[in-house]
Amino acid sequence: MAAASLLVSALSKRFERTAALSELSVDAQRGEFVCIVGPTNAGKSTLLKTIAGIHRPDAGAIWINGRDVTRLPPKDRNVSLLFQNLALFPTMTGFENIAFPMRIARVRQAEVEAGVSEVARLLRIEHVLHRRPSTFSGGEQQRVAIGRAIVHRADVLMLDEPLTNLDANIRIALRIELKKLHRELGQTVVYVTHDQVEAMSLSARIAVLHEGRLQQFGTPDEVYNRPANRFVAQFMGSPPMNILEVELSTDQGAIQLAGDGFRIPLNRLPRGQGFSRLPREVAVGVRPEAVRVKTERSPETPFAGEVFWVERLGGKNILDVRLGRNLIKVVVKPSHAASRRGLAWFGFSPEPHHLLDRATGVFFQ
Amino acid sequence: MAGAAARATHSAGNHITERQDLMRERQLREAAIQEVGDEAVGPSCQRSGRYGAIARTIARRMPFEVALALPAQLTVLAVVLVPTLVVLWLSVTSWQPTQGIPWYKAEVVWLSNFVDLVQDADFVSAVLRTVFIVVLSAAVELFLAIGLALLFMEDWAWRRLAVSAIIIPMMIVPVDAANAFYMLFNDQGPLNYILSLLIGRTVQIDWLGDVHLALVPIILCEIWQWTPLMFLLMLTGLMNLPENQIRAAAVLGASPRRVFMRVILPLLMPVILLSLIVRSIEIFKLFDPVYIMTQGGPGNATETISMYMYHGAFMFFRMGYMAAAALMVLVVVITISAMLARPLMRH
Repeated sequence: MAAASLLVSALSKRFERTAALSELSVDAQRGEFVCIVGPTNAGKSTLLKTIAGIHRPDAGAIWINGRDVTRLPPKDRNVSLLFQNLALFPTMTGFENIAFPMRIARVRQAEVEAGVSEVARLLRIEHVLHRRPSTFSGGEQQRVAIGRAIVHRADVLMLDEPLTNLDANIRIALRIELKKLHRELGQTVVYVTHDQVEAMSLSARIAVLHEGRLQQFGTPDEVYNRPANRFVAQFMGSPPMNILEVELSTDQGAIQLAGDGFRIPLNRLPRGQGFSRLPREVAVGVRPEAVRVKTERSPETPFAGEVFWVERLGGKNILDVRLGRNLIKVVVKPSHAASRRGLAWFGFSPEPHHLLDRATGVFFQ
Repeated sequence: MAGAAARATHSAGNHITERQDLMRERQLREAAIQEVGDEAVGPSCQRSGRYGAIARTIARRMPFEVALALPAQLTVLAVVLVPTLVVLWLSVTSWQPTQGIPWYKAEVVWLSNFVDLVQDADFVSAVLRTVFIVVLSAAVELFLAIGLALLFMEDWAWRRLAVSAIIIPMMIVPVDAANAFYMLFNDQGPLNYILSLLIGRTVQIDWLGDVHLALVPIILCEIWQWTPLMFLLMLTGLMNLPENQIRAAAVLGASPRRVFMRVILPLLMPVILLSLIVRSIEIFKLFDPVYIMTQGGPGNATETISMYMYHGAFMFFRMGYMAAAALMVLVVVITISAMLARPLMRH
């Protein structure tokens, strides 16, 4: 923890009757890119605004570079926050918007000009510097706002859904640019998004929030492959992970998972779990990409299911399948022969760590 | 009408049915108007009644929108345009009602009224004095109002009650407010008494009788009464500012003072300019406090332009001369407003 650039511990914040943040703890190492993801109202923006000092937390502490800033006013925290709606100053030109933090810090004019032109070059916005924000396009506004946020090298750069309001094309282009920018500047970044693809592609670690609580905090690989609970499993990944209700049983020492319309062996139990200590009523998670599909019955595809909807996305097809009483989603190649309505055959081999407690929704691991 | 409809059916093109529809609609409308008109004049007049015929003619000749707007337009014409034209006429005459000549037969003196006015020391000093009062009062009101409004941006206990209390002066009849200040600033009044207590020896300042001081109570009265209006305008302006831009400035390292100077004030500028225009025009017409407290005296130390014109027109009956003065003042007011409005248009 010595190198932690940002340390948030057990942060709680209530707004009247609703708890926006409950006992939330996250951290970011120096130069790390951390994503905060979660659905609407998960408390993502509240977390950023509390770190920035706009909201006072009810409990918990915030440390930035080893300094307790919990009670400091925003201006003394040396953080930078890019607001979701950008909040450019309409009365100032692009140049003055970007220069604002330096003007506040009373930096000399020559340095201001150097700093702004460097940022403008990085973001390729030299052409808007002398214009006012009302004349900017969406992408230009976004870049100027990013420029204003990065120009003064804050200890922690926080970005609140910076790409949400943009067209898909600009969004992907700016996403790559943000990644490059981060590599060049080496700033600690906390990035809020509700788009899990953005989070997967950008960050070193992802914190998944739901209703103000931290669900899981780990690398994209961990969060995707070893989700902590049902919420994370279904939030990360598109289409989401299928969760099938199964009964756990043994057949002559072999562990069996029996669900409606299928019965499959589990090659071993989750690590550190004994059969007798596990409940019988469990569920298993299967990623839509991990389901095998064929048009005929085979040893790998022993279960019959009905494809009742095919969603063609160009690069892949998503099949909506009825397997017994279960409705699952399956991703196949666009050319796959089962991409039509009607009967098909399915198979899957669940991972031991994808077994979860049906009652609590927590994965055994 | 039936003939017209028939002709319409004969005309070629796709418009036939459309036009038929229009014709039918019009017939129906006229029938409806006819019925209403007949009812209005009673059963005895039936369909051929005189008023019914007039109503029908009007309905046929006049688009509905015009009929709606006409009464208001005629009223404006009567109370604004006609007097303005009369003033324009009078300003080139030497008309005095005491001479017994009707105003439309007054002797034309062309521009000599204007030439005299520019050389009239009383008029020029009244204009300058009024401009001085406008600038001073508007500036102080603005300054106080912004300060007060900033206090009311955050929510605190009794905030709503405090707003109500602050805007009370605005609701008091100007003449009453002026009377209150008249008594307050009387040389035997409570203000001198309080000052005496504070200083510890008897103070007897003759506020309203001193040439150099008489403007003080008048300006204070104006500021006291109309700062609340400015306050309300500023508060509304502040409350409508985009919150995130102010927060953004704070997060980017700006102290509250710098947030105000660099972000809030520029964003508030349109509201500030607008309220300055409104208040300047209002203060330029300053009359009630002057009339109640000093009548323009002592000497003409507090004679505003309204007071000057009142004296000239209703005590000396120099109507032509004062019409010219009114026109010149109009030009001054429009110039000042335009100067303030120019940056407003830019925003």
